[in-house]
Amino acid sequence: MADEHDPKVSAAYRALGPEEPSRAVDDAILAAARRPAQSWSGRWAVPLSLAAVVVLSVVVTLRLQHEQPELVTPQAPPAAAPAAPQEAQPETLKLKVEDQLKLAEKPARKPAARRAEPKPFAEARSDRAPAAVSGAGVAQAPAVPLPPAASGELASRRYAGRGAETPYRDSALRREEERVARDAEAAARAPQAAAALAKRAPAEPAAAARAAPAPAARATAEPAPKTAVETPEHELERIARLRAEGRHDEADKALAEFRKRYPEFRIPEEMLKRVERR
Amino acid sequence: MGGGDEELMLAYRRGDAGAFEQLYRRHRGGLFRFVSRSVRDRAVAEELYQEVWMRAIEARGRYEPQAKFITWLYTIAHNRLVDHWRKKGLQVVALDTESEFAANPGFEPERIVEAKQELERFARALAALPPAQREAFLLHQEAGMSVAEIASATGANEEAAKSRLRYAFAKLKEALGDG
Repeated sequence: MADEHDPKVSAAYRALGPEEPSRAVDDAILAAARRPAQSWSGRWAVPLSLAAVVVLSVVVTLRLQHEQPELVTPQAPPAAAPAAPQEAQPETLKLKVEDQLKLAEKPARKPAARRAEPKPFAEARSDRAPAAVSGAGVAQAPAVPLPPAASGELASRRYAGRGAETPYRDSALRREEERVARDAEAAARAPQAAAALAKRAPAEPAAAARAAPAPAARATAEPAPKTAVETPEHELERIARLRAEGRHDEADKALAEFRKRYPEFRIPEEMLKRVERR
Repeated sequence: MGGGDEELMLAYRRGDAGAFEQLYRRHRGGLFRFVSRSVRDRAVAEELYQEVWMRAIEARGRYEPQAKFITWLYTIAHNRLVDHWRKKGLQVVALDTESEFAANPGFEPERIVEAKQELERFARALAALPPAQREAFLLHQEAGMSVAEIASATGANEEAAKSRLRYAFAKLKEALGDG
């Protein structure tokens, strides 16, 4: 290699003199070389610890968010533009629905935590929308898992409800969630009741269709067991049937009980004619 | 302990600090001149030189004698110099272009002890070489590297390394009045 090049150049270069590092630099380097090598764990202990803390924080936060969505889901401020709460609440609702559906699917793991209380429906009825679906009421009967048809029905409602923009108020929303869940439960257990729902007031054809069980369940038109959860509409239908069968005393008693249970429920005019004694 | 550079480095990896001292004594002068004649500033040169050795010390656990120790050491030095040039705004692709010293005949390296005319011209010519050519020349002179080793240490192909070395020699020869 060197032969290819002029040796005079190399000689001139060498004549430039032997430059060398200072003694201080030598000492610093040799001192560093004498220090024992830092082990892998020693070098990475601090960064790994920090990374672990960050990862744990994220996992815990996500877990909390998942288990208690209503605590972390941002709510639209009440003073915001009128459209804001309408958009924010369905998000909360979706999370609740998913959680409640999980409860319904795992009845053995988690018994009923709360019982839905029958409450006035006047407000909720006017605000009813597909998004107002929840499994809150399902938790009432945890010992009996939902049949596949009902589960599928609930799931389809859950997806159908996304993107709905109907306004809700908190109390009405909660009651409506419970009511729809009871619908589903009743429909799953009592195909007849679901058929009755389908014949309900024309203002709610969609709700009736939603509450209807799968075709297989509809085909078996057996009488509803007495343990089925009754909705106000079911109750009214039952009273109307009693009235039609001439069992007026029973109908009167049932109607009085109904009004006691649902003092704010506004009975549609058409239904009123069927349930009241003439 | 005598031994080749690679054996010394392996011994050092196993914890023999004396082996490193031997290695250091062997290569301190050449590596320092390689760095200092690349950056032309003694303070910067000392800083970079120390960093090169520190990197070698830190990397001892990963050292494998797949190539010559000197190629490994000067590759670290080359990479550190490239970082330095980048930090100063010099593009690596510009390393083959003429440096600013080519148009600055007043440049006189302080480290030339004897102010002979011929050596002055030679030193000026060396400083004026494009960085890549100067690097190839210094690797050849200080580390005794072949074209292939220069190519390996600088990440260039052999043709480029050979060409740089040839140009560097031609220009320096011209500065000596033999061109």
